[in-house]
This record gives sequence, C-alpha cells and structure tokens, in this order.
Amino acid sequence: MSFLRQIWAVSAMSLAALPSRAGASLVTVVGVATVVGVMLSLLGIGAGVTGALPRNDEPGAVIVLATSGAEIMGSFSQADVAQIAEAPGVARGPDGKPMVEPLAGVIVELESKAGGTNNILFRGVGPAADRMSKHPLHVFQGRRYQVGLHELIAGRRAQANFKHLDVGDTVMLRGTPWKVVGAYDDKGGVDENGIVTDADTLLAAFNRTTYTSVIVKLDSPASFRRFKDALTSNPQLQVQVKPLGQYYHDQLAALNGLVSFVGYFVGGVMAVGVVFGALNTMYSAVDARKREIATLRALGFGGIAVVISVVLESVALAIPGALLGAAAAWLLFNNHDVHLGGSSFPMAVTPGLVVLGLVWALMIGLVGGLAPAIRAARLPVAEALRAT
Amino acid sequence: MKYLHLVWAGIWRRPGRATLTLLSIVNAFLLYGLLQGFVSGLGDTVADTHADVLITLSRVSQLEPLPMSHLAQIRATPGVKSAAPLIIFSGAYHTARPANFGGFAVDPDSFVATDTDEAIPPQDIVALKRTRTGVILPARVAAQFNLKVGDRMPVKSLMWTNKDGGAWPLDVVGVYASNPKDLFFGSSILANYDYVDQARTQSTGTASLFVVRVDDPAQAGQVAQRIDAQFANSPDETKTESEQQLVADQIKQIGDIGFVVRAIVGAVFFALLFSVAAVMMQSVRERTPELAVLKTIGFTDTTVLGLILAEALVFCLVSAAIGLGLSALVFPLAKTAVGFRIDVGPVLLAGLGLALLLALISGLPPALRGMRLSIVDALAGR
Amino acid sequence: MALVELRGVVKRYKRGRQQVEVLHNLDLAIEAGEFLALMGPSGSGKTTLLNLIGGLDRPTEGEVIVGGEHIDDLSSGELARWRARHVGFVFQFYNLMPTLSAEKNVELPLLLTHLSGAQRQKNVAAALELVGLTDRRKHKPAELSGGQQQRVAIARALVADPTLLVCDEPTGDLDRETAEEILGLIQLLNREQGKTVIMVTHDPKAAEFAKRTLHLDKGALADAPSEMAAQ
Repeated sequence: MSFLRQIWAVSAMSLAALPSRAGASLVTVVGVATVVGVMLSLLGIGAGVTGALPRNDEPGAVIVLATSGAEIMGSFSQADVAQIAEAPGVARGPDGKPMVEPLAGVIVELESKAGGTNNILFRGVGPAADRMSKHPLHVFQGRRYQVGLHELIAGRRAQANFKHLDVGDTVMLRGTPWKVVGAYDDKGGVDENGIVTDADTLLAAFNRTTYTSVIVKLDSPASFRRFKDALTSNPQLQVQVKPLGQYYHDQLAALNGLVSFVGYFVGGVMAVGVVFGALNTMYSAVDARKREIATLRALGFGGIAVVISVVLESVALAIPGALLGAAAAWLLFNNHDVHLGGSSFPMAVTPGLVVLGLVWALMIGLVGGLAPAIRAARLPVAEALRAT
Repeated sequence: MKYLHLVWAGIWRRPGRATLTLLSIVNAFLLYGLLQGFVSGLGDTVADTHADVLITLSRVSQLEPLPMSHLAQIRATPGVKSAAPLIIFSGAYHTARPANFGGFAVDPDSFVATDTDEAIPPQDIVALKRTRTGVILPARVAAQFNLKVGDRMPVKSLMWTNKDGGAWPLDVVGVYASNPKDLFFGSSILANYDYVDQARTQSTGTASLFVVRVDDPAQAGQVAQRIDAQFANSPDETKTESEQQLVADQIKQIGDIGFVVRAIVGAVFFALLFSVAAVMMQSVRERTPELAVLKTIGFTDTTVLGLILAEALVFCLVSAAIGLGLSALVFPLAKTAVGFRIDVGPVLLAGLGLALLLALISGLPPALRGMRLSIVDALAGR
Repeated sequence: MALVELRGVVKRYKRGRQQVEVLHNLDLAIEAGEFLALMGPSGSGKTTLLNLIGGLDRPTEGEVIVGGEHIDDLSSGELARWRARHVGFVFQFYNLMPTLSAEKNVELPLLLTHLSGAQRQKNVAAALELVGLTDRRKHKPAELSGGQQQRVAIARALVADPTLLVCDEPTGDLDRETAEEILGLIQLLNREQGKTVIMVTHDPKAAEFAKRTLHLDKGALADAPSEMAAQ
C-alpha cells in the first residue's frame, strides 16, 4: 500500500513537471505520432485490401482454374465444362441441372479518371449467376444486361476510377460499342473494381471460344476432395481446384502480405529512431530532476518508485503521440482510395490498427524510458543533492 | 578550420545525448536511402530503355493477344527496321519450392534482329533454333536453380497451358549474362515461339506483343502512329509505345510508389527535425555562460552564430553520411532481390542535401539565440 | 593622457517596468600601468563599471575612452574585435570551456588573430609557463583545482597580449592561501609586464595588492577627492 502511494507521489510530481519541459516532451509526442501515423497508413492499405474480400463465400463454392492459377488464363471448352459438370459432388439446381457456371474474364484497358489508361477486369458470367455459389451482384442503379446484346453493368469502384462507365454511357471495347445499362455493388468487395456482362456475349465479342474459369457449387463442402481428385486425375483436363473463398483470399493475401511487410518494416525502422529520441527526452528529464529525485531518495522513497515514475512519464508522452498519429492517419487516409495492381481499395484505419498503434507506442515509451529510469534510481544521492 | 576543434567539442559536449541523436539521424537516413534508392531504381529502369525500340500491344489490354497476321504489316511499315513476335511466358520452375521468373517465347531469327544489346550469344540462338523445346536462361535463373546446358527444366507457365500435360518440358541450350539494366529481357528465359504457340491450349496463331526496332530513333513516334493507323477500327487494334513509355506505365500500374515514399520520408524528417532542433536548442541553452565567455573574449555575434550552425552542419552531415553509407551497403542486396540496377550516386547526393537542410532548419533557431545572447545578462545568470 | 577615461557616464537598466540608474554621472581616469582595485558593497555598480571599461556593455550617457578610442561609439561587432585586441578578462568562477583542455582554453583568444597554428602553440606555451601550469596543459578544467583553473583563466586573459586586464572578483571562490597566490600573480603581471589591471573585489585584503583603491557606493565614487588629486 505504502509502495503504491510512493509510486503515485513520485509519478504525480514528475507528470506535474511535464509542462516545464514542453519542448523536449514534444519531441517524443511528435516522434511517436509520426511512427504510428505512417505505420497505420501503410497497414491501412493492407486492411483495405483484406476488407475487399468478397464477404459471403458460400460453403461448397469452388473455382476450377487453369494450372497456371489465374482466373483469366484458363481455357475451358464447352466439352470441358460438360466434363466438370459430370464430376462427383456437383450440386443440382431446382431444375435438376448441375450447378456449374463457366466464366469468361478478359483484361481491358479503359481511360482512367486520373489520366491515362488502366487495366480493368471485364468478366462474363452465365445465366445461372444469381442462383450460383458466386453471390449475386447487387444492381443498385439501372438494370441488368440482356443476354446477346452488347450491354454491361459496372462496379461501383470501377465507376469511380474510370471514365465512360456511368449508366447510359457507351464504352468502346475491342472495336465494339458496349452500353452501360446498370451499376452494381458488392459490399465493398474487390469485384466492385470490374465490369460484368454475359459470358457468351463476351466470348463472341472477343473472338474466343473457351471460357477462362469455371465455378461449381458442390452438394456439400465435404465433397471437395472427391470433386478435386476427379478433376485433377482426369488426363483431359489440366486444372486446379480451389474453394472460392480461398481463391480470393490467396489472391489478396500476397498483396496484403507485401503491403504489411512494408508497413511493419518502415514502422519498425522509424520506431528505432524514435526510441533514440525518447531516450534523449527522458535522460534530460531525469537530468533536470536530479535534485528532486535525490531529495526523494534521501527522504526514503524507493528506487523502484523512481523507476516506475520515469517509465510512466515516458509512456504518458508516447500514448498521446499514438492517438495523434492514429487520428492523423484516420483523417488523411481512411476511405482514401489506393490503386494497387490495377484495382483500387479504400484504405481502412480500423480500431484494431489503432490498438496496434497504441501497443507500438507503449513499447517505444517503455524502451525509451527504462534506461533513463534505471539511471535515475541509481543516482548517488549525496552527489545529486549537491548538483545545481 | 581552426575552429573545427571548438565545433567538434561542442558536438560531443554531452556524449550520451549526441550518440542517441546521431543514431536517430543515422536511422532516418538509412530509411531514406533504402526507400529513395528503390524509387530511383525504378526511375533508372525507365531511363535505361532503348530509344529505337517500340512495343506493339493490343489496344484492348496488355494481355490481349494479337494475330500473327499483324507481323507482316508491321514489317512493311515505313521506318521499321525489324519486328519480332513475342509470347509472354512468365513461369515457375517446376520444383517443390517454385520460384517465379519472367520469360518470353521468341522467334530466334527475328528476335536477334531486334536485340539491340546483342545480349544473347549467337551460338545460343543457333542452338535454340535447332532445339524445338530449347530454352536460353539468364545467368541469374540458371544459378538460382543450379541448371546448366543440357539439363531438362520443366516450367509451369503462369500464362499458358501445354496441351500435352500442362507443364512445359524445356531443354537448356544456353545461358547468357543477365543484364539488370534491361527490365524486359535482362533476366527473362527465352523459349521457341513455334513450340509454345503450337502446343498451347489457346490463342494459337497470336503473339502477346511485337517488338519493333525503328531505323531512326528520332522518328519513333511517327512510326508508332503509322503502325497503329493500319489496324485502326479492326477488332485487333494496336497500341504502339516506346519501350520507355511502356516501362513507365507498368511501374505506374503497381501504384503510386513515389507518393508513398515521399510521404514516408516527409513524415520521418518532420519528426527528425523536431528532435534535432530540440537537442540543439537544449545544448545551446545549457551553454549560455560558455557562449557569453566566448563573446567576452572577443568572438563576434556572427562568429558565435557560425559556430553553432557549423556544429549543426557537421553533426547532421556526419550522421547522414553514416546512414547513407549503410543504405549504400544494403543496395547490392536490394539489387538481387528486386532485380534491377540502382544508381546510388544521385540518391546519396540528394540525401546530403537533405542533411544540409535539416542542419540549417534545426540549427538556425539555437544559432540565433546564441547570436543574440547578451554577455552582461548571461554572465549575471539572467 | 589616461589609458582609460570615463566622462559623465550614466548607466540605466530596465528592470521590468522600472528604470534603475546604476551609475550616476561618473568620471574616472586610469593611467597606463596602474593596478586599480574597485571596492564597494554588492549592488554598488562595480561590475557594471567594469563591464563598461571592458567593453562588454555601453553607457546610457557619457563617454568611455580607452587608449584614445571612444568605445561607446563602436558597434557590437567592432566592440567584440576591440575586446579581442585590448582586453583580457578574469572571472570569479573562472568560466573555462569544460570540453576543452587547458591549452585549448588558453588558445581561444588567439583563434581570433591571424597567427599560424605553430605561433599560437608557442604563445599558449609561454602563457601557461608564466602561470606555472605547463605540466597541466592537457587537463580539462574539471581535472584541475580552483586555483589552477583561475591560473588557466589568467593565462587565457594574457595570451593575446591585451592592453588591459579586467578582473571581476578573481579570488571570490578561492581559499585565502590560493587567493594570495593568484593576487601575487596578478601583481607580478602588473609590475614586471606593465599590464594595466582593473580589479573588482569586496575583499580589503585583496585590494591591498593594488596600487590604488577606489570605493564605489550607490553608483558614485565615494572617494572622488583622491581621484581628483590623481588627475
């Protein structure tokens, strides 16, 4: 009890003296604020990427891809699709037909609102799209395209990033005019970055005869292995099979991993620099309070109380810095669009990241305060009392 | 110069504090050197492209194939010296731990005609022509997978599936010295166009792009327009750009790296400025009596200002040089990781410029304080 | 003509909103080769007077003429250069640079001259020799006793061969024995080297070393008659 009172008394004294060392204290606050701000901004990109994962992956939805693994690189003829439909474990719809949906994806270049051109995924889906495992796209404006006509619907984010994608616009794709008849959203998912039409119409317009991937609904998630084995052991098919959710996750995981690596790397290196600054601040704080600390020690206050009070002061400077940095990252970048590898994502400075920032600041405060605190506790009392 | 020991003594007046501050500056400049080195490496990659090379791609998108029938028309275009079809064939070595690399399927004869760097040894081209399933490896890839001429290399292409079993069983027929300056061909594996085109499951009879070499680099722009005009309003419209434009666009596709790096560097230096300025100010404040004595002895106000500024300059420049030096040590590692050349000179110079700025901004307020210091007040402890 | 001449000198300071007149219409003449002790209670204006003579401060009114030069007219830069050439200072608390060795402290005033490095070293060695600290030349101030530090300070004051030696309570922080050694040294400099010395002190024993003593009280010279006589 008396120990706690000691800590409280010493800490209150050191915190009360903070304003008199405003300049030096500000260094720690600003330093921590920049580390946390920069790190949360970078990690916010990663969080934005992860946040763009399609949300409602239905269990049992799988994607059949070319062995190369890219959604737009496969080559599936009608016969291939028929073989996939006959594989064991494929669910059947109310009409008794197998729930198999060939997709056609091409990358096209459109005029970007930011200037120049940029890649966009033009995806063709089958008539069964709505019933299928792939969650239905929600058309919030206009209407759906008509099969056989050169009509398409544009994703919400695609509209934000490219010219000529408003409902009613016409956009030229491979020499053919396409009419934008609707706009869809996907709960913020990455698919909002694309444009969509009917698969067969797309293939005809792009002079293709093969689909690029196939989506299949299984009768139960447990059938996955059976289905996969049947396809991969079929010598006529060169395919790989992945649960749809995992496929999307894998696609974004690499991107997220890279961005997070950069975030933690930069945050880590900056934190090291700020620790040096914090050490400086606390050493001079201890220096300035030499006599005061020696007086307390002479009165019988314990070394531990002094250590804790110095560390507390350091942490007390770091925490507001972290909040400041997090606030800056949030104000500047939350929901700010970043363009990465042709898609755009809204950055997300999430509460989880803010907590991470606070933890980071706490570490900086602890590391930056500990060595000065130990020096303070070891001050030779008699000598320090004579110090001016 | 005769004041240097005064400046040096001033810097190390509080060795602990000076060391910590030095470390924080070193740290900031290390980060600056790494990030800026990366960005300038990307810029150098753009600058190192050939002036007389054009790339013809599909206007639909960079990944849309173009029919081979375009090739004859491109070759016949006035101003074109030679043209070669390429299939993008990036892949992974078919091993337990696959690693990706860039690659192209080329027509050996026409490729040699457009290869301005003459990077590929002629005997390798002859061998590639002879061996349908042949592949020429850049030294880096050969070393990475421990492959030599005569080895079988099963490649899984990221783009194309082999009708006959998915992967591509290639035979190493040559190894060439990697050229880190050349983003496109400097570190790509080269296979036979005919083999890949005929064995792939789709897009047979097409090329991913055509490499065009022009007679006169000054005319490159007009030649590009002429090529595109021939295919206008066809289903396979083309977009012909200089190699430089293309590389710049590709880098832009990754994202606005320049902005991110500038923002990070800006934030780092904002914090650093605060920290260095505070330390300098504190140091001058503590030295008030000493500075007053210097003035008493006859040092002018300007000399005192100069001494403190010199302290900031020497300190910041020395620390920055250490940080930049460390980053320069790391660059060779980055080069093997990223695969392109990094020209460190300009980055280091710009870094020293930044250090100069840091020193002036953080040193000026304390220097002015030192200059304005009144001897009488300072000696009286006021 | 006197080496130092003060005519009608008034010095006023602003202390907050109040104006305080520290020196009232003061006249003083000091001949070359004098050893003058300025005595007086604290607050009498001794240090202010010394600062004016040493060119650290300028009078509010009146003239300060040293060696025929009106130093009250000089800009602060000119004044600094003037001090470097003509005045050596010795302080109560020595005021050495804690980061520099004894010889580097003594060298400081020479940095302001055009002397070569070798010449500077020679002069520094001579000054240290004079104060008897040759064997301590590599030591930092913190490694020296109070008396030794004051000797270094005197060497520093002398090294550039100034016209005037200005000492502000040079023995105020020293024990009696050491103080007498230091005063003896200053006296020696006055007698043998012909240095004009002006020393502020509140210690009558210290003043005994001087050739002449003036008393300052409340901003005026108390024994003005004797000063008139000297003229």
